[in-house]
Amino acid sequence: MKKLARNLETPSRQWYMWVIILSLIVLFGVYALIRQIQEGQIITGMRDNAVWGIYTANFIFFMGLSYAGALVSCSFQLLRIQWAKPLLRMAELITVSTLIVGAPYILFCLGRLDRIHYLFVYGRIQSPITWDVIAISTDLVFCAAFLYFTHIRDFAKLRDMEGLKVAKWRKKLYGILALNYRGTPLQKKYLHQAHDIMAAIIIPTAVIAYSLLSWLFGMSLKPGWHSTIFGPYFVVTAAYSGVALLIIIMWLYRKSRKLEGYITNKHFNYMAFGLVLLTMAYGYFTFSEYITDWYNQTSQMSALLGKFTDMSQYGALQLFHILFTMFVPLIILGLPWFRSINSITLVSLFIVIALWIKRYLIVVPPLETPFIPIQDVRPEYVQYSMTWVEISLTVSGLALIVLIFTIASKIAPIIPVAEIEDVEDTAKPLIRFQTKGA
Amino acid sequence: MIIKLMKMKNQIYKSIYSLMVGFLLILIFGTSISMAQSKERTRLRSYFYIHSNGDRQVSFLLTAGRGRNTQMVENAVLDVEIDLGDSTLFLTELITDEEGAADLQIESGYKLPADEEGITTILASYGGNDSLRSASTDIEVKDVFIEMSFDIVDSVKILMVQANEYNTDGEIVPVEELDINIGVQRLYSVLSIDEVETDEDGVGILEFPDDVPGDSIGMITLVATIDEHDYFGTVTKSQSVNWGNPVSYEVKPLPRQLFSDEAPLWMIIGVFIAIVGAWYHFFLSIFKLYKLKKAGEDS
Repeated sequence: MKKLARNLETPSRQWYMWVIILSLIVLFGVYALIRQIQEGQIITGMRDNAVWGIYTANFIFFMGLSYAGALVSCSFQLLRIQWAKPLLRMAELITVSTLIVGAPYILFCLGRLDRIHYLFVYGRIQSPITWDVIAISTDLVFCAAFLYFTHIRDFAKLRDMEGLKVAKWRKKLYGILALNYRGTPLQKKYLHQAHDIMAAIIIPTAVIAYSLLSWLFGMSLKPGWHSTIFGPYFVVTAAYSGVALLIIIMWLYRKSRKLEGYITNKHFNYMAFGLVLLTMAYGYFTFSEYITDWYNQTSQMSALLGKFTDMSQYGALQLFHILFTMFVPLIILGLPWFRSINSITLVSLFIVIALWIKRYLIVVPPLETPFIPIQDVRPEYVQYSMTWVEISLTVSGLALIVLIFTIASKIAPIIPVAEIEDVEDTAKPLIRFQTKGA
Repeated sequence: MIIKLMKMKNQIYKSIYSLMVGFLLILIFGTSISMAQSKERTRLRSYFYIHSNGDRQVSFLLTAGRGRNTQMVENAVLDVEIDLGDSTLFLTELITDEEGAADLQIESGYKLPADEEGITTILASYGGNDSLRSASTDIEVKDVFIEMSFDIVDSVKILMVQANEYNTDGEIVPVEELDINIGVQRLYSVLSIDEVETDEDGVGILEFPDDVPGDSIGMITLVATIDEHDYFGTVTKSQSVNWGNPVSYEVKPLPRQLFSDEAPLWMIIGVFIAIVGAWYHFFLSIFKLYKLKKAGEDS
């Protein structure tokens, strides 16, 4: 604990520089947003036909990462997977940070942000958008609470740690946040109960919330969107991107904080196995989606699929997506002689990029291929092309996630040390299988 | 020999010089001539309308080019005059809009100078510019007055349409053999009912059908129209009467559906259970934390 706690002490100059650089990027995003509010959607690429663009792609992407983080951390918690304990906090931080950053992206698509309260005043319970608003806000509160629960024991350790060189107010804050936790058997019992209850409710909430997000598309009569498999497809895609991101973050912290003792080769290998399984599941869903669309295609669907194979349109992006979500991971991660910590991380990075591209391909090309094509308008009103405002807000979103990670890992250790060190404090398994006569 | 060669050389130079000057002259004049010839043809058309309130309108349309290359000429100045036989009376200048159209509005009651037959000839001309040729048009117009009267004889609805015009002495006289279309104004267009022809008294009679739907009190708007007559142009007269069948437009409340204001009950119950169930567990876990804190205080 003491070794990790040293990272929490007075930040270095480099740390401040890093925070300032990230903050400046975030501030530039704020400037872009102010310009968008002042001048309207005309300074984005969104128009009458393609009413959504990379904001919506970002929204689905970040929400997916968030739900994946929740699924991974809560599953590990409920299944009492011991080897995964060092990864729990990173997964939870992925959940909360991407949820905070991702959710506002859908608001950036609104032409009249000043009417946002109408959603609550005139919202209809029949609308998938209303379901989504309820689900996302619920999920945000639950995940933030779960993240806090997992910190309580570490806060208590930090409160009681002698010689920790941090400001007085931080010591005081650790004391408040530790909730008088002294590690008594009764307190351990209550903490485990709270953990399990939250984990058990977060898993279905995350699955439902991301399915709801997919139904925003699935319930629209548009070529490429109107699909019955979008719910499970989105959930699998979310888990896939979330696990890949977790591997990248594991690599980054392992390198930057010298955590080789906590994040070992075994962790990378196990996560890589998970990634292989998810690659196959993702490949199966992707194949199912395209084969059904292709086999019995309408003229608009035919036009849409044509765009995915035309290299001058979306063919190159589609090829990149298919290669790096289906073939490359299977070869690099599936075959042992290619598998190493660096190769696993590199493949994960490409998976994350390819899955962002997939979200872009879900959102934009179908909007550009409606059943009733818009007529007598300028081409830029039909085709989508992103602008500097949208790119700035996307980059600043990424910077904000990194900033949240940077600050959060300065407040509490990125590894849940208390949980790892307290070997005896292992909660009882939720499910016990008993053999007759045993 | 050398002098001879020098002379030949000079002659060759002179010839080349003359040819170049000639070529340049041809080029300059030829271009000017072809530029003059390349002015695009224009066409000016005119239409006459008499509206329901008696106001008259002469519309002009200026186009350039032919066939698929036809384009509307905007911001063009049109001179409008009245032909008085041996002279013309300048009326006004009109400027065409982006559709190439310009309208001359003449209020009802304003009497235009006319010939002995009561016909007014309106002239319009466009002077052209560097790229467009000039164009002109003329249209002969005459006033006509349409009146509608309504009567019910033995439960039969009788519509009488009277058409009058001015004669050479300025007196109002009936118009014979004039085809007038009778219709009912619907939301977007006129529903044609029948066509009547005026007799020697200028009267056309129509038995109005009983099955025309009206508004909630049975009001309908009847529209009498003369289409593109040689002198009267397009004439419209409309008048409201309660000859329609009253139709109730009361909207019945929709049942609970996805598309109605009120959601289906199963959906409300389902969402309620899901939200309450989820938040119950959240508060339960918060309660566990409260107990944890309490246990810490007790210990």
